[in-house]
Amino acid sequence: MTYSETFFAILMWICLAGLMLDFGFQLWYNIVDFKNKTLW
Amino acid sequence: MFSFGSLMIVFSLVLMGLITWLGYRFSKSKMLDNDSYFSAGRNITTAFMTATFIAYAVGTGLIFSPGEMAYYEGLTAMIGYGLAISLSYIAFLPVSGRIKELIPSGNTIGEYAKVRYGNIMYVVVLFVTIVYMFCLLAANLIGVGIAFNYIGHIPLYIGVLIIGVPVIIYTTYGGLGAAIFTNGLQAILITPMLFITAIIAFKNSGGPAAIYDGILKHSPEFLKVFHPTGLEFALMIIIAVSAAELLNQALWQRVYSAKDIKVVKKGLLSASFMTFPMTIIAASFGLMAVAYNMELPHPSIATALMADYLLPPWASMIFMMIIVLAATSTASDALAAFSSIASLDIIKSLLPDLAPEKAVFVARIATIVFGAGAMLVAFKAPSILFLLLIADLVAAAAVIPVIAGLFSPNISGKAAAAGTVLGLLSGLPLFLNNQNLLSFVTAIIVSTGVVFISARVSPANFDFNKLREHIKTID
Repeated sequence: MTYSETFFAILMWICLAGLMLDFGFQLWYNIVDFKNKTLW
Repeated sequence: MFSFGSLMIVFSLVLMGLITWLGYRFSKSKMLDNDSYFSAGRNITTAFMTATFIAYAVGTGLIFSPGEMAYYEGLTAMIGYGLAISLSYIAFLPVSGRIKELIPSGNTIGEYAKVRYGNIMYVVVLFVTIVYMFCLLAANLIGVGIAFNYIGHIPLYIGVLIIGVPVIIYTTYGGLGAAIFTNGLQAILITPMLFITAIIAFKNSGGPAAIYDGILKHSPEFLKVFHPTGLEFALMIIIAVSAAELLNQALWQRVYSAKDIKVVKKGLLSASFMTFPMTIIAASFGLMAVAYNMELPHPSIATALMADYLLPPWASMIFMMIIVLAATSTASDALAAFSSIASLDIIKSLLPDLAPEKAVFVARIATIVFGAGAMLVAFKAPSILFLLLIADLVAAAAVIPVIAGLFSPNISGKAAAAGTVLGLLSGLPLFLNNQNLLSFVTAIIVSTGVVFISARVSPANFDFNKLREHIKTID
């Protein structure tokens, strides 16, 4: 059984999109904690 | 005109100077008592908890080692490495809850091992945690050193010093709080920087289709799902990383530093999802090196070399700064972890009436000594993956005895120590004989067998309330 080109491409693009989601979530957590005055 | 290497030094010094200054300023304002040095005030909330779990994972163990394995073993090994880090955080979820419940005022794994199991297992656990933290610190310094050496053509020791010295400075001054605060900065910088550089690299390499075709041309076996050595590596790295992270002083410290268990669980769950794409994208540079049939001057340099090859100079510099941030984040975590072990475990065992201020002083000295020792090892630049796997094997032998002791009252100290030592003695020869997966499985099975048989035959009946009674904050 071999990984297909489509699988590889989907994995790469999903992970690239995942990086932006990561960044978005990190910003969101910081904003929420800052608003709640619980950032530190 | 300045060379790329000179600019690497300049930008690294500016970045490290900024992080050191911010870490110092933060520590000065936030370190309210001696306990804060070791526990960061015990009130960390979601944003910083998530960031510190991410920044801890994103060291050279994530930037370099997955790429190294992708280059040598292909796609299954790469996916395995991505799953390893994520699954290890998932595995730590129930353990973190138990730690927070039983030891709310704790600081180290060692103090738990001492109260739970007695002095023999205490010494064994100290050995395991110190070896792991040392290997982790050295591996991260090596990553920066080889990047400076092979990409910037700067002597390796300069890269090690540029990162090592500032990290030692701000972690020595601020302890765990400084490490977690700077993790917050590092995590939020690394993510978009990795995205930008990866997008450009994919574009310049012709995209996933071209990379796939290149792998098919030069190493078609790497695209087999059940490629034997790739699959073996994937299983091994999942076991190795999970075992190591369950016994990771840096992670236990974060549990102690959290405001409550909800924060820990949210942070771990978020980080487990967030680190997977980071690992895969970093590892994909290793696959690009395969596609381009790149020769490697050092086993761990695939990611950095390929990034430098594919990216324009300005983007390549951004990637070098990712390496600097990644190495710094994990290095400071390893240093802060060791400083707690040195002061609160080792020195406090010898001087039980050590005053809290003296404990902080000892921790600071230990940080400097430990950091200097790791820099000396880093100057030799062994393979990062090899160093981390040695540490993982030591942890694999101890993980079941230590963690099971949080849940089962029947395991005695002698059984735990015997299981750990026998597990290590069984696994090490296999590891040195390049039977990596078998070495980890053997270490775990042997140690597990010893502790559970002993628990059945002569149960210890430990009272878990003793942990809360005997383990207190230092102030």
